[in-house]
Amino acid sequence: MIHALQKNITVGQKLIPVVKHLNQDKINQFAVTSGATGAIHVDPEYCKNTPYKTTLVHGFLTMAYISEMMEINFGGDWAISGELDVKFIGVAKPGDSVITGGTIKEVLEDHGIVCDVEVANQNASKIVAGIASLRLRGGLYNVN
Amino acid sequence: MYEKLWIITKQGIENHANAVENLETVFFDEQTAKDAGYSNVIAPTSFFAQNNMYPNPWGHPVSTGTIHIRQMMKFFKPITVGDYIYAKTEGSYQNDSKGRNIQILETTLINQKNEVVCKGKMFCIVPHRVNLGGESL
Repeated sequence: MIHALQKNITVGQKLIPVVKHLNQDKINQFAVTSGATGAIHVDPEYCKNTPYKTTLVHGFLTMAYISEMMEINFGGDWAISGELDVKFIGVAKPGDSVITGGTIKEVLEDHGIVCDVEVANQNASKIVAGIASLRLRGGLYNVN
Repeated sequence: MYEKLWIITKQGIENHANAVENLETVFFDEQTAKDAGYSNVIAPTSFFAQNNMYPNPWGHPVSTGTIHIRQMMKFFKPITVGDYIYAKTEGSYQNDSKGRNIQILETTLINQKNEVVCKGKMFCIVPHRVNLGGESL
């Protein structure tokens, strides 16, 4: 795995983002593998009579992109010490492009890192927002 | 409380990794995973974040109108192909400041070595509360 940020950690530093382009096929695929096959996700006809008029992407799918971002930036340390607390504050729809965002908020004395994280759509509207934290096994280098 | 045993397969991990488009080689290739220090192919951490891991402890389908509003996750160990994962989920309710029903599902995942691999807490707005028999309260 890539450990993109472990050599230089700076408060305010931006994490390498993840970009995804969403469509109904991807939503359906996630629905089947995750067990969340509710009509609001997979039935466009049903959704024509809902406030959004379209299917909605699973919150867990958009959250998965934050996990991927943390894996890219911090490698295996995320898998053994990561903590995530996010709120789903908007919706993603088929046809949307989403991008994750992450900013290092705190660097702790015990090699802990705290990040503000989010997922936003192509209009910069936030869909997911919260906090991700982890502890780096190898310690920190060149902390600023 | 609801309990379930998961047997982690290579196909299951691949299906999830493909669905979330997280195509890192350690999620697909055994040799790459071993070179990285793992015993076998591992699952992305997002593998823990799926409805399958939050079985409804009341034993009924998710109600129409359920809205997932918040998720907390804590990771302790990667899941590997061949793991047996015991999942236990406890459910409870709260009211938010607007008086809405908030259903809380807390899942703990434990592997065959009795190690906790992940804990998660899922918060959903639900149209109504139910009891353990699945009947509306």
